[in-house]
This record gives sequence, C-alpha cells and structure tokens, in this order.
Amino acid sequence: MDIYIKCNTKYIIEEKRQIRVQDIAEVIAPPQLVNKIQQLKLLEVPVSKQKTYVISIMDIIKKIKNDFPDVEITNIGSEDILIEYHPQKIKESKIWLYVKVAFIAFIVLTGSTVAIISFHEDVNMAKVFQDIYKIFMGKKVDHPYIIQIPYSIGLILGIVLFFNHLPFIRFSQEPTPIEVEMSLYAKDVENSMVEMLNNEKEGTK
Amino acid sequence: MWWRKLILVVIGFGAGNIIAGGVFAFISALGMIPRMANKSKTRQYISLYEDCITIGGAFGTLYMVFPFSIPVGAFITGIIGLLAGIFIGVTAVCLAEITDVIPIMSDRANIQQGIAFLLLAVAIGKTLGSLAQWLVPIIIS
Repeated sequence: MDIYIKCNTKYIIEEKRQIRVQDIAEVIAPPQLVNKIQQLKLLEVPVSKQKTYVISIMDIIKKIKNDFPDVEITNIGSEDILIEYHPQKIKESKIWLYVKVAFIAFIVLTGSTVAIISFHEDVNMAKVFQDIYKIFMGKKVDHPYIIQIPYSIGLILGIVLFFNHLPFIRFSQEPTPIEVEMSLYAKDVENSMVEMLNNEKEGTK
Repeated sequence: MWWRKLILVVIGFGAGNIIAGGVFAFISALGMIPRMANKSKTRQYISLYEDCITIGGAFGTLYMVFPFSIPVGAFITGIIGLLAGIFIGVTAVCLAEITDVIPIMSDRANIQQGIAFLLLAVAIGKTLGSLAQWLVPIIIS
C-alpha cells in the first residue's frame, strides 16, 4: 500500500495543543487508512506559550509505520516542518496595522529621497550635467534643464519599470523584485530556524 | 541646433533610466524592506513600500532640478530626520550583513554566544559616530 505525504515548511497553529497529521500534512492513502492516518497525534504542546517547534518528516513516518507497519511511505514535501504555536487566536487591530504600514512607508519615502539626493551630491550630478551641456551646446549654464528634465523623467520611468508597477496599478501578476527578495528572505529565516531548533533538540538528548 | 538638444535629451533620459536601475536595484537587493516588512508582519503591503520608493526617488530628483522648499517647521523636520536616520541605519546594517562581516568575525574570534551584544555595540558605535560627526565641529568652534 502506497502512501504519499506532503507538508509545507511552516504552519501556524492557534489554540489547539494536540497537533495531528491533518493539521500539517496532505495525505494520499487508500480510503480505509486515510482518516486514521490524519488523526495520528504528532506533537502535544507542553506549555501554553507561544513557541516554535520543529517536526521532522522522520517523526511522521515513524508514527505512521508504528500503527501501519506494512505501508510504503513517500514524502514529496518538506523534510523539516516548523510549527508556530500560539496559545490564543492571533488577532491584530486594523489601526495598529495601518500605523505600522504608515510608519514604514514614511521611512521608505524619506529614505529613498535622501538616498537619491545624497547620490546626486556624492557624484556631483549638477556639475556632470553642466559639463555635458557644455560639450554639446558650447556654453556653460547653471541649470541645464534640457538635460535635467529628461533625466528626471527617465529616472522615474526606470524605477517604475524596475518595480513593474505604479501606485495602485500593477502591470503584471509577476511578483515585484522586493516581493521576490521577501520570499527568499522568509525561506532563509525558516531554514536557519529549523537548524537552530534541531540543534536545541540534539542538545537536550 | 535642434539635434544638439536632442542628443542632450537622449543622454539625460538614458542616464536617468540607468541610474534608477542602479540606485533602486541596490536598495531592493540589500533587502532592508523585506526585513522591515517581516518584523512588522506587513508582507502584503510590499508593493505600497515600492510605490513609496518611486515617489521618494521622484521627489529627490525634482529637488535637484528645481531646488524648492516646503516650510513644515522644526518639529516635522526633526521627524523627517529621524525617519531618514532609521532608513540609513537599516541600510548600513544590511550592507554589513550582506557582506557577512559579523558571521565571519565571530567565527574567527570563535564567539558562539553574545552576538546580540556585538550588534548592540555596532548600533551604539554608529550612533556615537554620527553624533560626533555632527556635534564635535560645533563644540570645538
């Protein structure tokens, strides 16, 4: 009898302290077994405190093998599964969320303003444009608008092309560069979390 | 004469495009926005943050072309200073982190624990350095 299990890397469990196979895994199994497997208990959260636990796929296979010795198990998901346990339902007020978003939005806004101004100052952009103006027009002016204004338009267009969206308008369904960066970062965090928790586990043995 | 102007327009436009790529790809490659979004659990608002980068970039460039002023008073100027400081602080640490300075240093020195203190020391050092840079010339003169 073949059984296939698939788990994601991370699950958030609220309130309930007994974590069963059905909470963290998708199971394909013969119909007479599927329910029994899904009800198998994997972990009992010892204290009602917010904490992250790690379950290895080996633990799950052991549990299943224990009850059903003659099945063949194939794992097609993640090997270590993080379980973030919250004693209460996570609830967050909308106002607090908007405060946080506004705070970060303002940091990013002022930060990128400072970044571009300091870049222009650093490379002495004003002088560079005056020089280019002199090369092509033969005389020196303080504000070569003919090059500065196209530069500004080009800069904004460049940013919009890079991020692939305007405020409130998205050009495509593809994730934006920072969203890609975000999922890479989240994966890194999950991996090092697994490693840390596994080290901890080995330490207690 | 018109073709000279056309060349300038083309150069300006191209420069803007490339520099936008450079400066803002740098900001997103450093990964401070994912960090801030992760810490505040506001991942779904990342595209808003990107819009803020766009607007901030446009604003900063506009200043270079037409140096304008928006009088908002000392208090709001101070807040803007604080926000810009947070951004540059996160940038500086991300830059140090992306080059693996702290992991390598602590590995060489064989430090397993107390990395939090190292980070605290970095933060205090940066604050002192920044204050010294701005304040010491005033105190001396």
